[in-house]
Parts: sequence; structure tokens; C-alpha cells
Amino acid sequence: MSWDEKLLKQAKKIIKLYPQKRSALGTLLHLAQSKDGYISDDSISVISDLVGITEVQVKSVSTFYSMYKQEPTGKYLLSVCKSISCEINNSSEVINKLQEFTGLNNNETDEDGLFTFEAVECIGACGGAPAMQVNYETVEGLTAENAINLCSWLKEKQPDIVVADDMQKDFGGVKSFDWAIKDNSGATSNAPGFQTLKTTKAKK
Amino acid sequence: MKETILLTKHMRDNPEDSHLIESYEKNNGYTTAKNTLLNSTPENILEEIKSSNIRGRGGAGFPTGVKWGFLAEDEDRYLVINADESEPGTFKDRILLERDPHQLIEGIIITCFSANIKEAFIYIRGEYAKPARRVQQAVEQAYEKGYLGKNIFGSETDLDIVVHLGAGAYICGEETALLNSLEGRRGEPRLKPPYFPAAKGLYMKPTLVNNVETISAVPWIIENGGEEYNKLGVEGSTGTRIFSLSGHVNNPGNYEIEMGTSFGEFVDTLGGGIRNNKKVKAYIPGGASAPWFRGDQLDIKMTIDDVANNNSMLGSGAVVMMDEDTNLVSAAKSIVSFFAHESCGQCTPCREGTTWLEMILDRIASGRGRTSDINLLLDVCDNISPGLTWPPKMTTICPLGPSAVSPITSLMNDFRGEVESLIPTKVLL
Repeated sequence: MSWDEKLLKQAKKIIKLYPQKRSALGTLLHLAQSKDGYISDDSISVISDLVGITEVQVKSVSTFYSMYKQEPTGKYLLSVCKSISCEINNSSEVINKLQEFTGLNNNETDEDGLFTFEAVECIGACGGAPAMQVNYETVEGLTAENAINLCSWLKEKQPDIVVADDMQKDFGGVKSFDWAIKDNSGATSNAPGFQTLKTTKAKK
Repeated sequence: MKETILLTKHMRDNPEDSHLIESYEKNNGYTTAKNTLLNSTPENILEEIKSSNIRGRGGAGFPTGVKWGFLAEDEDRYLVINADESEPGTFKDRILLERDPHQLIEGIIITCFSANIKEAFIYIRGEYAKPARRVQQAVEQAYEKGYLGKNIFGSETDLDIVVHLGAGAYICGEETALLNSLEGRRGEPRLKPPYFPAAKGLYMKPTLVNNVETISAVPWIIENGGEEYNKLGVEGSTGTRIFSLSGHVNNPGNYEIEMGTSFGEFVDTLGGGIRNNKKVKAYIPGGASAPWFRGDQLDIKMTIDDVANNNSMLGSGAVVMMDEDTNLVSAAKSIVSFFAHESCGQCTPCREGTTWLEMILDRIASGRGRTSDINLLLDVCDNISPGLTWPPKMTTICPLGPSAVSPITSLMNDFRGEVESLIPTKVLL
């Protein structure tokens, strides 16, 4: 087992949240991804021991869901929406220009490990179409030009935390909804799924 | 027309900090839950929900009171909040999660009291990482205050809430797929019967699965009474509803309105009309799964039944306007691609059919279509949903496959000329 003590402790806390061990599987996969940026074979083996199911069962679940990455992901995961509201608001231009800028095909990561590009289905930002996410932080009301400016900025500054509000202010346009809470929390990795699940609950 | 503000009141009045418990409590938050737990009975709450006539806001429009009434007796029962909002065009739950998570938690407390449930899960789609952080923070605040955990508000009631993140699968919005996912399995819909999670749900135990918007309405209904809620809107579609408006409109956004107005009035007033004064060519009345209406059908009323009587559905309340310049074949292709990508792969008609539909539409959209493609499209559709009726007949475990058929039947019924015009009549060399 190559998960360190701290991670294992966190994993065991997560398992306790659920009535049955296996229910923790999805959350543990998010945890694994926050460690490595993808679901490694090593994590699969650790999780299978923790949850008490076979490695194949873990793998079959991890490959079902598009957010569990099977290969290492860049520091910034660029997910551009291509579903209906974005499509009719010219998302294809954003996608084409960003692919040109990064030189990446769909689901590809650059050699420096900086960007991973993906065209994705609806991210729930239809009122601010076209929209994209950087490490699951949403930017709405994009133009192709602003999307490139955003990526140039990421490339130059390489911030460790990306914050939706900041990106929206500098590179976004129309938003899905207007009344906004100032929020400086952001995504600290390309697998922000897990950071939302602190396990501080006072369980029964 | 004006909005009727119930569920979005707190977030509008307190735009800076509506997500924090201090702000929510300052505006009488949690008093309804507290009164309920200390002074009411589960039967009373159920009666109020029934008399409100609220119907589920996730898409199917099932009467919420009836669903709660179904819940089978068992020692272990669960509430699962479906926050897997992924239907293209829909972003209403996102605002409720992001801006007013305590309203949802209060709704959960009241619901669990009424249904005698001790454990609730909020299943949030993985891409909603930021809304999920807010909800998790809100849950932790509620624990600190003693509004969750043991002996809530000093009553006999115990309740735990676990926030669970999905990982990018639209199909998990289907309730049995969501339950499988929450059990740590692939998000594949379950074979029916059993039809209702209220009989056999999570771990095959009785489970209520309700949408975020439905449960967020519970505190208002209990505070003001089911009868008051029932007075809003129209018969069969009572109360307010948050519609997500997008597409070629001047003012896209979430609008909370009473059901019963026409789509045209909604778009022209709150939506600010179509951009650049263009005409509407077609529009989607209730999310990507819903058959389209034409631009000359804007007088249809926004109620569950009116839309159903016109052979579509109000679904998740996502209205997408497409102006006269829209390439409808590309639009249909985008929707079909979505379903092809999101098909879980269990049933052959859906897995293979949606992929073929995508390929054929792609061929037509790129100017390489064949004359025979129109009949081929219809034939593939017929194999997924025999007879192309509405509501659709099914050859599959869940409605995802038939949903991919909707935009194509809309194209063929109303815009066939546009498809044909893209197919070259000369032989391509």
C-alpha cells in the first residue's frame, strides 16, 4: 500500500460516513485523483482493499465516469462546453481556437503537463453560453479571443488556485445569474471534487 | 409579467452573504424547521405537502405528496436529494445550491421529520464543485449549530446529511442510476420493477428521491401553508417554478414565475426578446430531452399539462430559444451527440442507435448526406422508440434513448425541408 498514513486516515473517515463501505467508492476515487491527477493502478489496489471489492470492480466503476481520468492530467483541465445552448452561441469557435492555441486534441495533455483539453457536455452555465471550466471553476460569456487570453494568463502566471470569480471578471461576459456572492475560494487542483468533502462531521 | 419570488427571495435580498447561516437565520431561516420539529406531527406536514399540490421539479412532474405517501415502512429509510442537474439548458438547481444551501437543508430537515428518515444524501454532480463546496460548508455550519446530528433543536429527532459528489454522468439523474452510483456502482439505471425507490431504493430500502428545487420549496410551503402555495400558478401546475432561459435571448437567466403564462410573453418580457429583433425559428420548452416547438407556437402556456398536450414536456424547466438563423441540423446533432456520449451502454437500441444517429446527422450537417439518410434516421429512431409517439414508447430500461429521438422527430415533422436542403443532389466525387 503506497498511500501514506494521512491519506489512509482520511479514507477511513470517508468510509465511516456511509451505511455501507462500497458507497464510499466514488469519493475515494476523487481522493485518489486529488493525489495523482488520475486514477493510478496503485490507487485501485489500495481502494479495493479499503472497500473490500475486487480491483476489477473498482476499475469498472472508475472507467464509467468521465471525471475520473485514466491518465495523468495537466495542471489546468480546460473543459469547454459543447451542448445545445453553447453550440448555438458559437462554442465551436471557442473549441477550435483553444485547440489551435494549445495544440491539443480532445482529451490530450501537453508535454509540459500544463494543459489538458476536453470538449464536454453541459456544465450548467447555459445562460452564460458559451462557457468553460478551468479545474471545474466556471467562466461564462466567453469569446474565442477571451478564452485564449485566459489560457495565456494561466500559462504566464500559473496560479496554484484558480478562482471562478477572478476569471469571470477578467475574461468572462454574460453570466447565468447576476446576483453574486464574492467568493475567493477556488480550485486547488485539477481534481477539485474531493476538496469539497471535508470529513469533519460529528457523526452519530 | 412579473416574477413571483418565493424560493429566490433570500438570495435576492442578501446578495452578499445569502449562503451563510448567519444571514439565513437573520431572515427567519430555520424557524419553520424548529417549529415543525417541536410542535407539529409528520402527518400534518404530509397533509400540507399534499394540499400544496406541488409536483416534482426534476422533470417527471410526479406529485410530491403522493411520492411521500408511498414510502414503505422500514427501520432504515433514506432521503436522497437529486442535485445531478445535467439536462442541457438547465441551471436552476445550481443557483439554489450556490446561493441558498440552508433553504435546502431546512427543507431536508422538515422532509425527514415528516417521513421519519434519519439519514439523507445530497448527490451533487461532480462538475458543480463550487456549489458543492457551498453546500458542504452549509452542512457543517448546521451541524455546529445543532440543527443536524442528534436531538435537533432539542427535539427527539436525529438526522445526518452526507454530501456526495458525482463524477460526470448525466445518466445518474435517472433516480435508479443515481442510487446505484451512490452505492458505489456504475451509474446504470435499474431494471423495473421495482418501479419506485419509495418501495425499494438505496440498498433496496425505502428511499425518497427528490429534486433540489422541490425540497427547497418545502420550508415556504410549511411556513405559509399548502393552501397558499396551491393558490399560485394554475391547477395541475401550482406554485412557482424557476425557469432557466437560454439561447438567442437578450436576457438569459433564471426566472421564478408562476406557471400558466405563455412562452412568448415570458421571452418577450423577462427574457427581453430575441437578440437583434430576430424571429424564433424553434424552441425547446423543457430541456434537451423535450421535443421542440416551432416559432409560431409561442402562445403555448407554460404548464406541465399544456406542454404535454402539445406533445412535448416542461421537463426540467429549461427553455432554449433558437432564432431564424439557427442551423437546426447542427442543433439536433449537438443534442444527439449529448445522448450518444451519455448513454450508459446497457441497452443496445440506445447504445448503438444514438451513435448511429450522431454519425448520420454529422454526415448531413457537413454536406455529405445521402438521400436515403432521412429514411435511415427515421428507421433508427423507430428502433429506439417504436412508432415515434409522444410520450415515447420504450425499448430500453430508461428514457435516455427515446430522448435522443425527440430532436429528430421535431426536425422531420416541422423542418424536413431544412434537412433535405443540406443533402447534395449531385453525386459526390
